[in-house]
Amino acid sequence: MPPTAKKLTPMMQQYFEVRNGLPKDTILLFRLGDFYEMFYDDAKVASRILGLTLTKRQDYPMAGIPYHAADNYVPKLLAAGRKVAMCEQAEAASPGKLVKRQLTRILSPGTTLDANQLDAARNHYLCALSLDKAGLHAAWLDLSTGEFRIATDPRAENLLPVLTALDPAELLVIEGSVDAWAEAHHDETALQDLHAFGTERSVTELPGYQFETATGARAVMETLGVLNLEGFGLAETHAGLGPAGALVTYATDNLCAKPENLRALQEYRSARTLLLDPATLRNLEVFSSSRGTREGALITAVNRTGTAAGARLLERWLAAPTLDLAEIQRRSALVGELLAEPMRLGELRELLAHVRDIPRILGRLQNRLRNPRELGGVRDTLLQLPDLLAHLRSFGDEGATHLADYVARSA
Amino acid sequence: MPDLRDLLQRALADEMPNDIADGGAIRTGFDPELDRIHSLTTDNKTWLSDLESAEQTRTGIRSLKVKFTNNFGYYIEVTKANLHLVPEDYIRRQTTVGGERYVTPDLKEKEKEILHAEENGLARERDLFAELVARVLDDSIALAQSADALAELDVLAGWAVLAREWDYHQPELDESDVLEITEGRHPVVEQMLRNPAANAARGSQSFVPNDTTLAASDAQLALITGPNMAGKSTYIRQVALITLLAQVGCWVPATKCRIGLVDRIFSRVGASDDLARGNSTFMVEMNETANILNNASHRSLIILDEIGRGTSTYDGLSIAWAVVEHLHGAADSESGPRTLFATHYQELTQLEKHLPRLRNFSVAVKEWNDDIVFVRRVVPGAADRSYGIQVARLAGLPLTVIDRAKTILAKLESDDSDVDLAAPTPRAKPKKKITVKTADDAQLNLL
Repeated sequence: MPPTAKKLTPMMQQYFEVRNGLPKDTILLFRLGDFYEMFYDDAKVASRILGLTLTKRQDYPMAGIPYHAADNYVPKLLAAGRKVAMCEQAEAASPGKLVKRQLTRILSPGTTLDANQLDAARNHYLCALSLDKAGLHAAWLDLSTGEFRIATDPRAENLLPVLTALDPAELLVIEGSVDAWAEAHHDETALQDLHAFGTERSVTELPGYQFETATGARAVMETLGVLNLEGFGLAETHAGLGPAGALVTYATDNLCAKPENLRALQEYRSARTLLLDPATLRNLEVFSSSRGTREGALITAVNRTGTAAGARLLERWLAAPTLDLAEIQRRSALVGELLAEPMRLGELRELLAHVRDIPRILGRLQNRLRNPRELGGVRDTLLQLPDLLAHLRSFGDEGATHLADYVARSA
Repeated sequence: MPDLRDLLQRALADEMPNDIADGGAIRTGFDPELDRIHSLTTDNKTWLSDLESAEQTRTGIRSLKVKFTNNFGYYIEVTKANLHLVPEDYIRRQTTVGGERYVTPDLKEKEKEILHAEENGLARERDLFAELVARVLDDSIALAQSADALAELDVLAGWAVLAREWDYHQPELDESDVLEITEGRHPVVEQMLRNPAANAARGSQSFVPNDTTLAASDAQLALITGPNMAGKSTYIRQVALITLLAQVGCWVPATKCRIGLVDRIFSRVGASDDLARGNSTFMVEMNETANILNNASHRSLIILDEIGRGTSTYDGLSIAWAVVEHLHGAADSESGPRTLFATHYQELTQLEKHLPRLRNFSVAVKEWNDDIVFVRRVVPGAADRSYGIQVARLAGLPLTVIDRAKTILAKLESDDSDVDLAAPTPRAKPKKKITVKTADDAQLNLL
């Protein structure tokens, strides 16, 4: 790490001010003109992962990537289990003066928002868990769309089905949990199940105080901008608020700003859901075939969606099938209505194909990732709506009309 | 919100740039100020090209060019051959391989204007873009609701297409305790069978449909026997998948289907290759079975495939036997979880006499001399034999081995005695168990 004896240049002092505040396993990309540079251990690790040439600046190791190629390199660092902190120049460079620099974002598997780091057809969850005598408490969040849920259950096996099915990209747990799960005795089934759940994904351990219910409730209310949680039907003592608080704090740290697209917190209740435990999901090959591919799985066999948001909704429906008879019948009846008019169905799907990924575009716009093309996507989608609505209304039945009313909210 | 739509349509260029700093995001005619700045730039470009031709005429240098680089800004370039024609008012700035670069006070003045206009233009675009984003975000809740409805429409329209493609029918769901499927098919295997790419060697095959009738308070537990490779696993899984599809609101691969709501689906295979958790396979199998027995309610659906296979024959049979009894409950109990139990333990079929809600089924096999043909039909009644040796033959075991196995089987069968049902543990002799690695049968291999 840094040479303490030698005097650092002002720029390297600036570098270490940023570097020292970062969690471990994080690689700092430090913007220097047209390059992102990495120094010391970061440079060594990254040059190995990315196949970059390790050079020296004065006498310390350095490696760099051109700023415009960052989109190619960053996913590789994430895939290797690293987090990536981006430090940008916050003002125009002027000769003889140290440029102001600012940490703008920390990318981790569960908090990336860039379109090219996300699978458009899959939901992308960050999940936090804690287990105690009262049961398993969990919260999960898709930062790309703003979906935010909370759950608690005295029996871990009631929550693991939905968590397994949602397949979160990153897991937040209390320090020491991973070891405790790994050492669990074979009859401690909840721990065993958590171990199996955790080994398949990226796990970040955080200090226990971040999972306290009272702290969590405050963090959640602040992030949602509400004074209490009654509007969501939640008590401030809900045991899932600990993990929920850890989630929003982690998301805020990584975005270097409050997540702006979280508007609501919904409670998930296992009693309202058809439960398929992890072994059943595997045996029935619901999300993944026995060879570990989407090909050959049920979800692929019944996916005829034309939009990314549709594909993600299908995944959520299969992950938590409802027990609400009226809702099931509403969907099934609508399928029948659509099926009865093959011509109109074809035209409707044609129009849907031009609809852009509004939930994720909104998520990025709200979180300061503002690509003009995506604003163009909002326009293109809005332009489709009048025709889409006309088609949908022409089916004339109750279900289609009801759905049309929702579509019409922004038409 | 026609307002937002119209605003974006008026404001945004047809082709949007990837970065606001590239310019060109705002449509001409939307903002007078931006248009004024852009027209300055256009005027200045005209001024530059006018300058170029004027200077060509004045100096007589026909190759004279007005150019721009990021480092030097605007300059006049004169090639070496023409240097003697350069007028005195040109100020030399740089020498290159091919010639010299000059500026004039007028050109420098213009350069300032141009760069300033470009900068102003980008700043103006940035401001306008930020306003438009803010305007879109004002409507984000309505936009998100529309988007959710569109996603739903997309899934359901897709299912309508799926239903037409594969002849799915609308299931009937209610609060009853039944599970009735007429001519059900496996949604994944059926598509693979007809997919020419995945099945090039065999050509396209059609899936053999099967019926299912279960009810928590009547035919609660279907015990399915029959030889390995005959399609037991595919059949019991298709029942679970049809149930799952019905409960997400999708139509199902069956001509008729009625399902009383299911609260949990449990599916277990007595497998030999599940080492995910590092426990012994049998321990995993038993942990998972324990999980079912502890958590299943009378609204659950349970799919058990060869439970007990992970241990010795006696142990396995005993466990399978006890699990069936547990799932059924006492002989005088009223109901239990709807269950499909596939097994190669023939001995279990005798339980039908003692457990009123247990029904025996078997996968039909046609015997031709010493050969067997799988017809993939699930029929009422127990299988009379396991056909293990015939399956082994289909799998290509050497004939000497097959012949020897037959001799051993005859010997074992002559010693065999009936299982005493009163005893808690059956005393059946071990039946031969043959694991078949490959078979030329698509419906199974694809699973």
